[in-house]
Amino acid sequence: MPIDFTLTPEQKALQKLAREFAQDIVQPLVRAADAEPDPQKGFQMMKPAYEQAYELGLVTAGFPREFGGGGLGMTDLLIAHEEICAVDCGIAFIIGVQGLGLFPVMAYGTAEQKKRFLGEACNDPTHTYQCGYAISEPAGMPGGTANFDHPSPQAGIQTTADLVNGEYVINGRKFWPTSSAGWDMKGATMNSVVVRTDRTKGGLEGLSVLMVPRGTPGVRYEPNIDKMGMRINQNCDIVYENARVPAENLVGPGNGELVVNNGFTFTGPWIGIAATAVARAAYEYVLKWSKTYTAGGTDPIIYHQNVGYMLGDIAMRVEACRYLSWKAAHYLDTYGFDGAQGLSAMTKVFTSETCVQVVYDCMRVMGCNAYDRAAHPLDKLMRDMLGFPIFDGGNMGMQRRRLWGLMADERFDPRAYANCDRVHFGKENEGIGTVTTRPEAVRELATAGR
Amino acid sequence: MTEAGSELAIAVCIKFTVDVNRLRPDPATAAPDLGHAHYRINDFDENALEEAVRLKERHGGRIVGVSLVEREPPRELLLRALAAGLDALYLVPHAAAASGDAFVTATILAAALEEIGAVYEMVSWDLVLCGDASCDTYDGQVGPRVAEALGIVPITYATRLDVRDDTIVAERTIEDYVHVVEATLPALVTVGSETNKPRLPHLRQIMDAGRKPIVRLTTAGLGRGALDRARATLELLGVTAPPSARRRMVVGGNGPDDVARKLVRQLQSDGELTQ
Repeated sequence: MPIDFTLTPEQKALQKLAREFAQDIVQPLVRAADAEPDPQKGFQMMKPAYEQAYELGLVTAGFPREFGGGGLGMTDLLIAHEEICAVDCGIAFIIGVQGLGLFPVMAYGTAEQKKRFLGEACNDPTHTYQCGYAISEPAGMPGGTANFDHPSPQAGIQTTADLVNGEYVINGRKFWPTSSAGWDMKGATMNSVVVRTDRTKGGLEGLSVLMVPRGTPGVRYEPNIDKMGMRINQNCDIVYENARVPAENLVGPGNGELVVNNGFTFTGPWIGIAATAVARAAYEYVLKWSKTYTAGGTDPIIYHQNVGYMLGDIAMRVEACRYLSWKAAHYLDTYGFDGAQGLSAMTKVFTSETCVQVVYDCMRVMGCNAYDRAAHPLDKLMRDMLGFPIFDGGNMGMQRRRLWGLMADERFDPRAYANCDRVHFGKENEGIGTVTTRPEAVRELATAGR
Repeated sequence: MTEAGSELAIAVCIKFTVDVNRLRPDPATAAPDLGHAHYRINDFDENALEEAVRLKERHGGRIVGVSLVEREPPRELLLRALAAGLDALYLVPHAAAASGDAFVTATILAAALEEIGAVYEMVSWDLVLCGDASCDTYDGQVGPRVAEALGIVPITYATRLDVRDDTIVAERTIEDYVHVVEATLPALVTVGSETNKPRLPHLRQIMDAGRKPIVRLTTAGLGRGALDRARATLELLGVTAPPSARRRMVVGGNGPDDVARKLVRQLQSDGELTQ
């Protein structure tokens, strides 16, 4: 039996549905929304497309059938996601982030929590349901998020949630969360928020997730972050001041850092195919261009050897990134989150960094014309693409560290992914590299240990 | 009418055609390169199916698709047709599907419709819906010919339709006026892109479409000597793309207005634009 990359008829029909949705419904809205100076306005301009995506089942495609979702596996999701990302990855992320926002419930929720939160997500009569995902925190001292699994309670996630009279009281600030502020800046329907529920414990024990519904008093949404790319996707700045949520909204107590790690495991192939899709859009555009543009010569530039070779290099990298993403998705479908961490991180890092170069190479083939943002799409594709290596667990900050933590484990089998064997990932693989190497701090730690 | 007396028994004739927008001529022969062709559901048949679904939503009933096929179409297209609202799909494989002879196609389709209604579905069709024409050969003959073979009323180029009791009311938009016609069911109606905008199917309908029945009929079993009657009346001599050598002309001039004037003059002299 060969390794089979054949799409099933169902997957081909799904691919066609996603392609038609992207081309017929999304495409007409994209240019104006991307050009809108106010990012919230640009986000709102995509609302009709989002509602249609909800009606078609694309928003809830990955949730189990028993709660009203589409029941698709990760490989199926990737096939649809590529088609939408090839037209605009911003709307694709608005659609897809529900899966990430509700990932903590899917992976760590109780039966009652799954029924409640997933049921609500899949059965919204207004077709506007959104669940944001809030981990990242603003820069500062302390600040940022990459060391979320640092052993010190004073490092890593600093948004706190204290249990008072059956309610968690949240204080702190989140920066970058996707689709969290809602269509009207009064909050998404739901937000999953990674918080420190134990102020005395480090990142491996002190973190949990709270589901914070829209309308919770004490939550304030600041104006959206004005980004260079992915402008259609909403990224927020949220302030929590004594925001209270019921204790039953707590998910994965003491496992918040695993939620973060496994959330990124879930999104690795998903970002991988998104990067592939943006690179594909650039590649297909430039391939067509090279068959009609003569650069002042007598024949289209594709008949120049250099252009032909470059296009070959571009095409092979797009193909390679797609199949690595499929492999990671297939592995996730096979083993779930238990073990996909390493392959998922490899996929996210490799595809996002490779595809930045692919889009740049497409610009090199086009020459200066690629710089004309009114006439050609390379400007938007490059702006969108540059986000992939640095967001959703930055390649330098988080993804390589996740892979390092796994590879440093004595049990790690370097052939496991090729053999499709299960690879264990647990708390013991977390926290690597979080403790500083600043010489004074190392000396202080050494002194303290004596 | 079905047993309930108000629900509709609807058959939709569907053609799985080559996607002409993606069809390329063979450079050597100028004939369509069918070996590398992509296939699709004929676009007007998607309108017919959408209209059937809308009638079913209003009146209840059951919709089956019937398709004469030369060979088995790609399964994803069958799933898409089922996801769009068919309750069952009947395929009638016959070499005549490739002949482009509307008389043969209609004769076999009509015989298949009778067989499916009588033997498989156990209904008399209230309504047969067809696309106005198919996007590959664009004859526009099959619908009316099927009506003739079935002995039922044809209504062509309908832009709007509804059923009231046992009467179908259809609007036909003809240039600057609307022609409203009524007929007692059963009837055959052809529709086109002005009739509706087919909706995209729900993701779950796509993933579950494979559970709906796809029945393959053999033409040998069709009644009333259908195959004897379905003798070809046309002989297809060939299909070739018209030659279209690229001229790669560059129109120069002093400023955009001058260039535009020269371009228009050139196009007129080439016969591409009328005076």
